[in-house]
Amino acid sequence: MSFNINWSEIGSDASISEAVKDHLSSYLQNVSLPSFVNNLKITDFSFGAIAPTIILKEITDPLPDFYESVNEGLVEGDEGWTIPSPSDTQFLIEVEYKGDLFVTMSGELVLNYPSQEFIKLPIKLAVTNIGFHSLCLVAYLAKQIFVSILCDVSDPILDEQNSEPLLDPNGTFMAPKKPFERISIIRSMNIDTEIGQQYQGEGSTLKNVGKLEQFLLEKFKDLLRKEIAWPSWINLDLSGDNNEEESIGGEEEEGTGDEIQSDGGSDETSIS
Amino acid sequence: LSDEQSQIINSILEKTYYNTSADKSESLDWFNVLVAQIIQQFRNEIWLEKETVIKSLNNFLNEKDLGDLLGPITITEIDIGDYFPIFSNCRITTVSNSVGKKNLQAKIDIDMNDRLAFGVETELMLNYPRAAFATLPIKLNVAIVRFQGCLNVSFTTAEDFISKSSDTKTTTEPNNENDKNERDDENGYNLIFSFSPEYQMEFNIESMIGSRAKLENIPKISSLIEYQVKKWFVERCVEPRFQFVKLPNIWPRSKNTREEKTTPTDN
Repeated sequence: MSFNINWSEIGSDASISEAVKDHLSSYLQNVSLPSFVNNLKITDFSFGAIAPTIILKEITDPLPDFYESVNEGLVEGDEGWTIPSPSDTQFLIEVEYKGDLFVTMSGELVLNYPSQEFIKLPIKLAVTNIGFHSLCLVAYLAKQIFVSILCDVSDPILDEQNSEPLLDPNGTFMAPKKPFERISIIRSMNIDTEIGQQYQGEGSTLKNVGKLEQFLLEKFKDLLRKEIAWPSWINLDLSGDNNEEESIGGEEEEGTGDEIQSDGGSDETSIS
Repeated sequence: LSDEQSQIINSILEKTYYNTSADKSESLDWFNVLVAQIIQQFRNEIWLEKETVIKSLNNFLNEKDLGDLLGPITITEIDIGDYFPIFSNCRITTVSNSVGKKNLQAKIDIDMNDRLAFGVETELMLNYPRAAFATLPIKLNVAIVRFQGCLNVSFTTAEDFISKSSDTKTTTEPNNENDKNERDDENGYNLIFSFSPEYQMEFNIESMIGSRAKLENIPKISSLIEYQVKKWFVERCVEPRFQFVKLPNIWPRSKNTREEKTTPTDN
């Protein structure tokens, strides 16, 4: 690894875990749930004890897309118009995570058989074994940090473009700006469900639990792809008052052009 | 007023037999030799005390508040070169400043082919979401291997210039000693020098970044450092900024009088 990471620093800090928990909760609230699940809430979140491995691959000037985003709505020459400065920097990093981070959730499983809302069952879900190994961009400019996941390290697209620089804004890799073409960012993730003892063995119940697990997996992958995978990114503003504020920028497909608060906005993704 | 200045300048040029348009530029070979002597002396002192110098520089850098972006700094190399700067092509010109005041100025070409290097080891600190959450080890060797420029030298009184340093203006407590020094600064002549903006500074920068998986000699790192060094230089001694040096009193005084030792020493 290139970075030395004090993972226990954030693991031992309850306020950071709490902040992530709140963040995930508000995201979950805006997810349109299927008919068979109600009141899904995050009950616990932990960073675990195992840190990701981060390897620095390249240091370059930031991509033009980040400047376009900073200058959105401004006319060239306006106050606040940002032009590239020699001190702006971009890191291409490889992040490998195979740690013991976990999220637990609680909710109600609704049985719509033999009639609508026939039974409601309390349910607990544990998300564990999250693994990914991806290339990421971290850019610093205009007192803002941009973080975007590019693709999995074994994405076939990486073999195709040996001859050209990876981060060429006009190259095959960065140019299409289409998400979902690349292979999944999340390599592994387990969702284990726990329901009352007396319902195990009921086939219809377990079938719906499996659906719910599948649903949540898809939701989580969607979250990553839509909000932090290229051509979207997380934007941390380090200037002035909004020090702690975190917002989402990038080329949101349904975006309004303005920066969207990551805990706001509705998500209309439906499942089959 | 302008006429009066022109008269003074013309009088000086006339009485020193200098014609700004006809006189050929001078070589400064004699000056190079004397400057080389001073630089050699300075180098000898540093080589003799190299460890001490590095140690005190280390202390100085680490006591200074460098923000929370960098971890502890260790100096690994100091190279103060083997060659000497060569001054040449000296000519006198008349220049006027922004308020139209005329002055005499020497323009001197300077060329330095040497290796002035500085090596450091430190860590870049990532302070999000917690202070020192992640660190990135950095090793740098920054060498200036060539400098070419035109040096402008003149003498002037202090009243024509304002200080760019904020420290001198924000003296909070009235201090007699400071007041006296400030008054002295306003009196007498000062030497001012600056470099013309079309200077050339060539670097040789080596970088090693990362803990175990390392990146070596990244062009972006080199350009970042070049930018910072040039910024430092331009903000201090490239036109329209000047360096301002108070000239000492050279009136012969008994306390400044010396003579050679007459008794031979062992060495």
